[in-house]
Amino acid sequence: MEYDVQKGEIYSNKIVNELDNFVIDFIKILDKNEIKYVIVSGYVSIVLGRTRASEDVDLLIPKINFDEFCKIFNSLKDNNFECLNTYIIKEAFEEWHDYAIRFSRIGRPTPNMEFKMITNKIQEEAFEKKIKLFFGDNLLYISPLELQIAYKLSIIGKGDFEEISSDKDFEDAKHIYEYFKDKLNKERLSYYIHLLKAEEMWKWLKM
Amino acid sequence: MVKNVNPKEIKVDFGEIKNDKMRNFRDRIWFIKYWAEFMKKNSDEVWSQGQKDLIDSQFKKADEFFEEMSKSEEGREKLDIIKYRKIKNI
Repeated sequence: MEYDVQKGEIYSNKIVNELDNFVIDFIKILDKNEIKYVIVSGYVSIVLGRTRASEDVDLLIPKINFDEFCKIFNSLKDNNFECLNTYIIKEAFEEWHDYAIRFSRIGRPTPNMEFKMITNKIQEEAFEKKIKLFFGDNLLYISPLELQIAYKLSIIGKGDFEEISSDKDFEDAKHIYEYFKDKLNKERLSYYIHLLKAEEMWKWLKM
Repeated sequence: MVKNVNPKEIKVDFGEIKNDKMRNFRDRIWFIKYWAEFMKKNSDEVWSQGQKDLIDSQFKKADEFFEEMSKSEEGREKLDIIKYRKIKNI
């Protein structure tokens, strides 16, 4: 796996697993409908090599109108995906304004895609600064690694080892840090850690 | 046959439990570092094969579980509850 920092591109020759296939198939439908997105959280660590599975994948997209939503909803349906929340488009659109709605392959609740609207500055940052991940013939947009690390650290807790001793978010952050530490933008990482008040966790991560 | 034990008779060493957690945490961190180094030293094809085996087997198990559940009405009702809980993030 190679990371071209200047271009913001990662190149991977990994063997595709079931979770990757699910994500690739879903993203192809978004691409076909020209829906922009960024993948964040656990799957970013997994696709970059972390040895764990996940039952869901977090996807952020900017707000779209009802017509665009209908187009993507129907397109997903035509491609063997179902919305787990409701099969009524209007309901799904309304619920999407309050929380993530989930899509899975029909009859298989896991894995599923958490389809989230971008609603805050951190999510906007992840979207604006997203990087490219190429593997095989596939291209995925993922959260910038520095933000991914800081964000994962920020959602853990107060910073004592009791809280992090079995925390998957901490381990996800640690994996990305260990593999990419020579390539990470230290200034940007430091900025995000400060911004998200994750200084205590950061001390643990570096150990 | 397990003897009935009065919980009051069991003395729990919480200090030892905390030490176990610390050891476990260190082991896990050690493995994450080890794995990152393993990835760097080996081709993507090598490390990702192990990851694929792990992830695919977990989804296979999940599929089998859902298939088994959907065979009965009671199971289908339970599946709906699982879906509902996930959706509302209860």
